[in-house]
Amino acid sequence: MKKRMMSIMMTLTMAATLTMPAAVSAAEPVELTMWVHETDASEEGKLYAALAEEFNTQYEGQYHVTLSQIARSGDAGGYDDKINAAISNGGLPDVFTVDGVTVAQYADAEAIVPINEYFTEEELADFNPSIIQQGTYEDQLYTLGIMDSSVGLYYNKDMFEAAGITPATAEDPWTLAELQDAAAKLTTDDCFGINMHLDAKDESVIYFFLPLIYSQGANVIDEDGETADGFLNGDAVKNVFNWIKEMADNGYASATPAENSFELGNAAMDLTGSWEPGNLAKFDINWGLMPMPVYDENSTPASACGSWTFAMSSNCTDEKKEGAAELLRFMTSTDASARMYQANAMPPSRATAFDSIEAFGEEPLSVFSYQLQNTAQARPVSINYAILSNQFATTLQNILTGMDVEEALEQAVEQYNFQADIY
Amino acid sequence: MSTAAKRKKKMTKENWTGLAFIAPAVLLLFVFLFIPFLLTVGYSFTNYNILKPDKMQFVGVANFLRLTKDTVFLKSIINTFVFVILVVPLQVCLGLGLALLINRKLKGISIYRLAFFAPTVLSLVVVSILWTYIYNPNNGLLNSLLGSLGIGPFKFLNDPSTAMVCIVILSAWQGCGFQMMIFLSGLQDIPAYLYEAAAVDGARKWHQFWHITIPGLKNISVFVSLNIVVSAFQLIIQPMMMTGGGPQNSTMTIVYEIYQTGFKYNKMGYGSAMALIFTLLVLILTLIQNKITSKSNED
Amino acid sequence: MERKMSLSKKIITYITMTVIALVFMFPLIWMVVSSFKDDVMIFTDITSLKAFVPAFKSDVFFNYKEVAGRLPLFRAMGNSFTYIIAIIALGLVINSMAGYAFARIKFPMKNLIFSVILAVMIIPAQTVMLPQFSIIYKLGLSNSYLALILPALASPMYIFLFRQNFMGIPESIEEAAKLDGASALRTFFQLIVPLAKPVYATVGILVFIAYWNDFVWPVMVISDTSKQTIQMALSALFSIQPVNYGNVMAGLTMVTIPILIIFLSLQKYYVAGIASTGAKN
Repeated sequence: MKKRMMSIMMTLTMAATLTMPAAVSAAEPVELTMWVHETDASEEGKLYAALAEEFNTQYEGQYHVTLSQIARSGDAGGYDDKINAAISNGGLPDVFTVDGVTVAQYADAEAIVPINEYFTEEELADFNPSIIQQGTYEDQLYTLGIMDSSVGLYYNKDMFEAAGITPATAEDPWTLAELQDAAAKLTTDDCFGINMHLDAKDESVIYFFLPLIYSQGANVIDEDGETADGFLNGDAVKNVFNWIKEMADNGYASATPAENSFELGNAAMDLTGSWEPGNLAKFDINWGLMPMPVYDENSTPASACGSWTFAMSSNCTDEKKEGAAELLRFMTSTDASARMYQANAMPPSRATAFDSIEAFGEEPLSVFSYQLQNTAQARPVSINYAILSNQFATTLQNILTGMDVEEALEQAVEQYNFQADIY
Repeated sequence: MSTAAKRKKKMTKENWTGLAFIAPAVLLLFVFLFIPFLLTVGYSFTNYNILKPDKMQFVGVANFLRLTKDTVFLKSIINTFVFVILVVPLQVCLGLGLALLINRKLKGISIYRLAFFAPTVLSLVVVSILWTYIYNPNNGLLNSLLGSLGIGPFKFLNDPSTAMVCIVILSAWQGCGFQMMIFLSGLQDIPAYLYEAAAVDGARKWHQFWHITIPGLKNISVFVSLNIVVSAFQLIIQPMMMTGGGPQNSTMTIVYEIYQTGFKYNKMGYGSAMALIFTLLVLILTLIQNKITSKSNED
Repeated sequence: MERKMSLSKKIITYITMTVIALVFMFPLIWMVVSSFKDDVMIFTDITSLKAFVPAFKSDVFFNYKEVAGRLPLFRAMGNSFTYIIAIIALGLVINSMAGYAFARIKFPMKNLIFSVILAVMIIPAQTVMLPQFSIIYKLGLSNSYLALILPALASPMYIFLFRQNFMGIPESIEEAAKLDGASALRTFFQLIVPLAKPVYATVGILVFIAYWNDFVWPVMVISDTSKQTIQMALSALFSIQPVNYGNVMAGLTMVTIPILIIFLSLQKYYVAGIASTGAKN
C-alpha cells in the first residue's frame, strides 16, 4: 500500500517536474524587444521581420520577440537619435542593431553588454575574423553581424582589353604604382583612369582608404584612441594622401567626379563598395572586379569591412539574457546571413554562409569572399571613431583644394586631439 | 504705454483678457521651449555625454574656457557672420522684388506665384543635392552655361574662397519665396485708397513706392528682417549636404558645429556651451538691430 | 493700379516673369522630368540642359509604380495630413490670439513676456531636441500624435508675425466695435480675423511645408509603423545602397503634389485685402 502510494506520488512528481516548466512557459514566454534600422519598405527590413517571426515560431512558448523597425536617413540620422534618446530616458529594447563603428561608444557607455559567455569558440570561429574584430572592445565581444561589406577595384573589361592591361587576381593585388600606371594608360580626354569618389565628405573616405595605411603596417590613432600624434601624421598616412593628390593632379582621378561616371563609361575603374553590382546591373557595362590594391611590393594586403550588427542592451534583465542571446544567434545564423545576401546583396558575415552561396565561389564576387576571410581589417574600435572619420574626410578635401599634405595632417592631428579631449 | 505703467496695479478686465489671450501660447512655449533651453543652459556647465547620462558632473566654466581655444568654433562664428551679412540684404531685396512683381492682377498670376515659391516647397536636402550637381566644377551645369558665355571655369564649392558665396546664392534663391509670401500678405494690408488718392494726385510710380508701399510695409519689414537674420544664423543643412563644412573649414557654421559636437560626438555639455554662446550672440545682435530699426522708424 | 496695361507692356511683363519663373522652377522641373527616367538617363543627362527635357520609357509611370509598390506612401500621407491639420488649426488660433494681445491689448509685463518670446525664437532647434524628447517621454506621450502636435503649436515666429500684421490694421476698425460693447473675443474673431486672411493663409502654408518635410523629430517620438509620417516612409528610398534615383524622384514628386494643391487652394485669400472692407481712417 505504502509502496503503491509512493510510486503514484513519484510518478505524479515526476510528471509534474516534467510538465510544469513547459506548462508555465507555454503560458508566459519570455518577452523580448528588438529594434532594427530598416523599415519593412526594403528587402533587408522584410528579412528582419521574417526572421523575427520565424524565431517566435521556433521558440514558441519559450521566447517571444516584438520587433520595431525604425526609419533612418542615409547616414542613420533618426535611428541614432532615437537610440540616444532611449539611453537618456531608459527605454532601450533588449536587442538592437548598431553600426559596427559605433560598438566602442555604446560599449564604453555600458549601453550594450558583453556576449562572449553565450557563444562557443567554434561558433565564433565561423564568423569573418573582422566581424569579431569590429565587435570586440577592451577584449570583450559585444556584437555579431548578419552581414559584412567590402571594397574592391571595379574595372571596365572592354577598356582594359583595348589598352592591353591585365587585371590583378584576388590573391595578388596591384600596388599603387601599378594602379597609377594603368590609370595613366586609361585616361583620355573624356575618360578618367579611375573614379575614387574623391568628392566624398563623409565616413566613406576613411572606409575606402584606411586599408592602404593598414597595408603598410601602420595605424591612424594609438591603441586607446587618445592621440593621433605620430599616427595620423605618420609616414604611412602621408604616403597615401600624397599618392591621392598625385592621381588628382595628373588628372587620372577626378577630384569632383560626376555621379556614376564609371557606370556611364567616363571612368575606366571604380574604387567602391560591395553594394556596387546592384547599381551596375542597371547600366550597360562589361565589368570585372579586382582586389583592394596595396601600398607597395613590401605591403601586406588589407581590405575594408564592417556593417550593422546585433547587440544585447544593458536594459536586458538577467532572466531575459538567455533569450536575447538565442535571438542574437538566430539573427546572425548561417541561414540568416545567406538570405541577407539574397535580400540586399551584402556579403555574408560567416564562412558557412559564403560556402552556401555559389556566386562567392566564382569571379567576380570571389574577390570579396577572399578579402573578407583573409585580408579584411576593421576600422579602429574607438570611442573617438566619429572624430577620426571626420578629420580623415576633412583632410582629403583640404589637400584636394590646395593645402599642403603635411600641413593638412598636422592640423588633423591637432583637431583630433582637441576634440577627443573634450569631456 | 507710459500711462498704463503709471496706473495702479489693479487688474482691469482688459488686463485679464490680454493674459487669457496669451495663456495657451505662453504655457506651451514654457513647457516645450523654455524648459528645454534652461536644461541646455544647465548642461553647458557639465560634462554631459549623451550616451552616459548617469555620469553627468558639474565642471564649472571649463567648457567655456575651452571654447576660447577652439579654433574651428571661432572660425565658424566668423563664417556664420559672413553668411548673415551677405545673405540678409540679398534675400530681403529678392523677396520684396518678387512680391512687388507678383502683386498685380494678371491672368495666371497664381501660377507665377507658385513658380517663385517653388524652391521653398522642396526640402532643403533635395535642393542642396541638386545644386551640388549644378556647381560641379568638371561637368556641372553652371560651368557649362558660363563657359558658353566665355566665363570661367570656376571651382565653386571646391575653392575655400568661393564656397561660402555659392552657399549664399543658393540660400537666397531658396529662401526668398518665403519672404515674398510674407511681404505679399503685408502688401495686401496697404489700403488701396491710398494708391487711388495718389493716382488722382498724379504721383509717379516710384513716388508711390517710396511714400506708400515702403511705409505701409514697415511692420512687416521688422518681422522679415528679424526672421531672416535668425534663420540665417541657423545655417546648417546646406553646408552639411554640400561641403561638410569645408574646404578648409570655410563653410563651417556655428549650428553645424553644435550639431556635430552634441549629436555626432555625443559631447552634449560642450555642445550646450556652444549653443549658449550662440544664443547670447544672436540675442545681443537682434537687440542692437531692433534699436536701430525702431529709431529709423521714428524718423 | 486698376489702369489698363498696354499690350506691349503686358507682353514684356509676362516674358520677364516667365524667365524669372524658370530660374526658380528648375529643381521642380528636374525632379518631375527625372521621375520618368531611369538612372542611366538621369545621370547621362545631368551634365547638360537635357536634364530638364522630358523623356519617357514605354512604361511611362514605372518609377511611380515601383515606389507605390515599395512604400505605404498614401497611408503615411494620411497620417501626416491628420497631425499637420491639427497643428495648423490649433496653432493659428493660439498664435494669432497671442499676437493680437501683444499688438492691441494692455496687460501687465507685456513687454517683458514679448521680449522673452523673441529671445526663445533664436534657440536653434537642434539644441533643445533632446530635452524636448525627455519632456514628451515623461508626459507619457511617446508614440502618439500628441507628441508631434503639442510642441509644434506655439511658435514665437508666428506670434511675432501676427503681432506685426495686426499692428498694421487701423485701430479705427475696432473702436466702433468697442463702443458697441462687443467683447474682445468677439471683436477679434468677427472683425480682425476676416481682415487678416492673407496672413492666416501664409502661416498655414508655411506651417504645412515645415512639418510635411520634418523628419528627425517624428522618427524620435513615433515607433509604430502604422503611425509613420510621410518623410519616415520616404526615407527608405535613401537608406539603401545603391540609391535608385528614378524612384527617389517619383517619390519626391508624389510628396510635393499635396503641397502644391494646398498652396493653390489658399490663393483666393490673397485677393481680398483691407481695401475691400471699406475701412476709412
